Amino acid sequence: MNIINIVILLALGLFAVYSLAMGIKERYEKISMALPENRFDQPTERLWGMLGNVLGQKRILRERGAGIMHVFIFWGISLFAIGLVLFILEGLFPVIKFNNQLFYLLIDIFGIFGFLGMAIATWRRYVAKVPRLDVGPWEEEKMIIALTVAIILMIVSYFIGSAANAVASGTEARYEMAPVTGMLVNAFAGMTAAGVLYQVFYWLAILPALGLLVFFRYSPLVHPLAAPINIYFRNLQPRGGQIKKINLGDEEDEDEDEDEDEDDEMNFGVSKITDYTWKQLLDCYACAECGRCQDNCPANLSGKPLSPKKVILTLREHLPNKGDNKEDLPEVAGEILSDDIIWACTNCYACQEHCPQLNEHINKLIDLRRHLVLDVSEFPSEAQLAFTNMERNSNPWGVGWTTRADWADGLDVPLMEDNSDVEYLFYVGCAGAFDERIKNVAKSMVKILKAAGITFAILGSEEKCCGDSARRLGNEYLFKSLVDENIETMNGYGVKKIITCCPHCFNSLKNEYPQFGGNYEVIHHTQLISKLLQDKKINLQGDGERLKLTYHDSCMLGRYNNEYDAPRNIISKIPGASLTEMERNRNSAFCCGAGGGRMWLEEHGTRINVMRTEQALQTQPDLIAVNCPFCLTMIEDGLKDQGQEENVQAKDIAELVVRYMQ
Amino acid sequence: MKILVCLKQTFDTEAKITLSNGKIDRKGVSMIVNPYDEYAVEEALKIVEKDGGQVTVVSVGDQQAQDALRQALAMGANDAVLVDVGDKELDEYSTATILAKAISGMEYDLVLGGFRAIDDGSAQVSGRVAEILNIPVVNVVTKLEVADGKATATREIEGGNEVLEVSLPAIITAQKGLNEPRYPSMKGIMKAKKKPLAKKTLADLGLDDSQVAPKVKAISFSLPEARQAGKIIPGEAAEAAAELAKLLREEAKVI
Repeated sequence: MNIINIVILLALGLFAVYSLAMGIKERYEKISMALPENRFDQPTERLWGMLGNVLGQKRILRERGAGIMHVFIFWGISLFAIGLVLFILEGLFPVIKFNNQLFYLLIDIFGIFGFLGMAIATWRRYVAKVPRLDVGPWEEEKMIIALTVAIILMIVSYFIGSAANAVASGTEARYEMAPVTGMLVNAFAGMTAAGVLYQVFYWLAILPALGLLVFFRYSPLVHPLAAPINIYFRNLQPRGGQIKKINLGDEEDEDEDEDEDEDDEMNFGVSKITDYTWKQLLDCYACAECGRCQDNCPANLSGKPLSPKKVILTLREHLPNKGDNKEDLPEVAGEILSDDIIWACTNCYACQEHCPQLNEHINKLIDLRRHLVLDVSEFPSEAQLAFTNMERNSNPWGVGWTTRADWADGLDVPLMEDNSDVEYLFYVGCAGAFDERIKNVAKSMVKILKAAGITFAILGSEEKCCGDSARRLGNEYLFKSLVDENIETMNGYGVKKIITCCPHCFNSLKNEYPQFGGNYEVIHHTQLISKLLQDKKINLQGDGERLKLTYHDSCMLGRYNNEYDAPRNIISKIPGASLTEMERNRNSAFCCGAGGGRMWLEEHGTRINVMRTEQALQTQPDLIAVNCPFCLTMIEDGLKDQGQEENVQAKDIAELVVRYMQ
Repeated sequence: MKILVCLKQTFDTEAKITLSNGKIDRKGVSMIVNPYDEYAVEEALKIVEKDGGQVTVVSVGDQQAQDALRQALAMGANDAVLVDVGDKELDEYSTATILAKAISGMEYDLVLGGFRAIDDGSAQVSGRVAEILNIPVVNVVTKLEVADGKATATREIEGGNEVLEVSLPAIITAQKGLNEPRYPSMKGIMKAKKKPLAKKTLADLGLDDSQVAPKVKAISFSLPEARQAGKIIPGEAAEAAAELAKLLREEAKVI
């Protein structure tokens, strides 16, 4: 009997392990069809981060409810598996006798955790019907249901099988402390069929356990296997510098690309799915479809067709198969993901901030934008206008470049070309230089710098757009030409420290320019002002009035550069001011809608900036403080839309500080 | 089908115009393809994409005009010809003479161009070229169809549209609305670097200075007066309106 059991189990076990191995091999082959990418650096850093997120469940615990459910499932089932293995081995080799009561107590507890975790998951999915889980029809759900049933069956069978075995073999004592198994032992006491019951449930525990390994070969639900690997290979670049530099052909020898045919093959963006890198495709397997990304996505929440989760899942459905001819694969942009999905993203980073798998959604879309712009030249006409404006006049507004310093007329703002021996370059940015409303922010900053006695100069008409919008709209060629010109100018003046009022310029100069040889210490104006207040270089004096304000975190300063405190420190030092936070704040802040180059595109349907303004108005503020020219424009537009422009002001932090400056 | 597109490099629409020594100062001005000529390039490309053929862009200008030609090549034109006249002063007559001479040495079924250039805005050159080449010209076209050796062109006239049919070869000039010019792809930009751009001098065309001497001479240039800041009249509508009328009569002296 035992020999037969061993043979059967060995055969099933080998089949299960073979299936699992094949499942891994087949997926490895699919992912290998993609382009290479080096994610093998800094192994220690990678390992520690992985352990924190896998063993420590760090990211997923940011959300208490679902996080604890996942901890139950992950830790519960992982540790329960030890008991299950012992249970199986004991059935095969009766010589094994392990009677530690504490051990069986712990295994019971882990089993209960696993069971509870699965029960909560099922409840969330099919009873509470949490919207972001997007419960589908039977066809889509059957895999999930099979997985759930298998795990629950496995745990329950262990309990029943263990108890029956204890009764049959007289080892009841080991379960004295184990709550579930112990209770069942009492229930089965004296049962003559205990031995049969044990045999039945022994196999009912083994079959789903081995079934899970087979399941991984045939189901798309491989998150438990792929997630730790994906987290290990996560992006270690600073968030603001994660967009990949591409070789635009100007860096190699000119004579190299003589071949005309080669030019036709050349792609700068992602045309077919295999133009992504292996890591970008690995994301698809790691996704657990939890939907946190889409719950935080301003495009999705405002009813646009983009859901970061669906982007990942749609790509997963279209992963290549071994032997596929690249030419026969569908175009990703247009055939797999529609253009309106690709252009809806504001690059706000909320999806990536909240993704427990550390998936990278934004670059997938930017790579598609690059294809649409650089390879096939098919994109919204508003983007074309912005591009042309940046090309001809180095600013997306398209105002004549020679007038770039006109905002500073009469303010006695020094120019770099007159004297570059200054502490800071004040990089004004296009908005501060050309937008009538934002000019006031630049002027306020000048007042602050002068009051604090800081030496600075501007580039005047030598300054070009930083290129952020161009890059995020996919026009790497234009971005690079702007970057090259700016770096040449700034390096020419020996610029070391840069201060900027625009977090887009800030991020690009700080995190993207180093890719192109521009290395500067870049400081956002709120960081500088906070420091000046702390050092008492400037002082604020109240006017006796109370001011109720709320503060809107820009994505570029907040999520991308983790600066949440400097602006709040400034606000806390404004006499009479009280800050009421919006519900979505700090790393959960809601985008104004203008990032990712969307500032220059038409928005249809519910407007993101109006939604954000409504969120701000819920705090009943006198004033909405911001740190970004785009946000300022969007929030002011939102206030007009809500008919609140008379009652509520929107101000940049610098403007606010100047109002109270002595 | 062989299509020639006449193209001029002009000041950027946002360029700040300044005068130095009584002449327009070109220093620090970004140069662009005359937007109306861009419509012409786009239309030519659309025709050859549909029916096959070749697009050649032709410009009269200085060395810098190569950038404008390269842009047309990046959009998809096959080759380019630059008649380099350096900084020679030209009027519409001279430009048309040079263009006509350059074109007459080439094969063509259709000539396209913008109906005017945004800088001097004279809208004369295409008409003059047609006259010299003795071919028909249709101006200010917003829709064009080419088939069976004929062109059917829709042009805007006062209060409506006129549809004309001409036999080819002919010159058609583009008006805004004809199409939306494409943005060159990276591939286009890289290919453009290798496409042929022939440079010719007046001597190459068999022209001497006397044949292209301008007949019109600019006597002087002046800048428009700086715009005065606007004024907002506060108060109730009726009172404000009375105040406005008073100011218009007494200060502005327009009513």
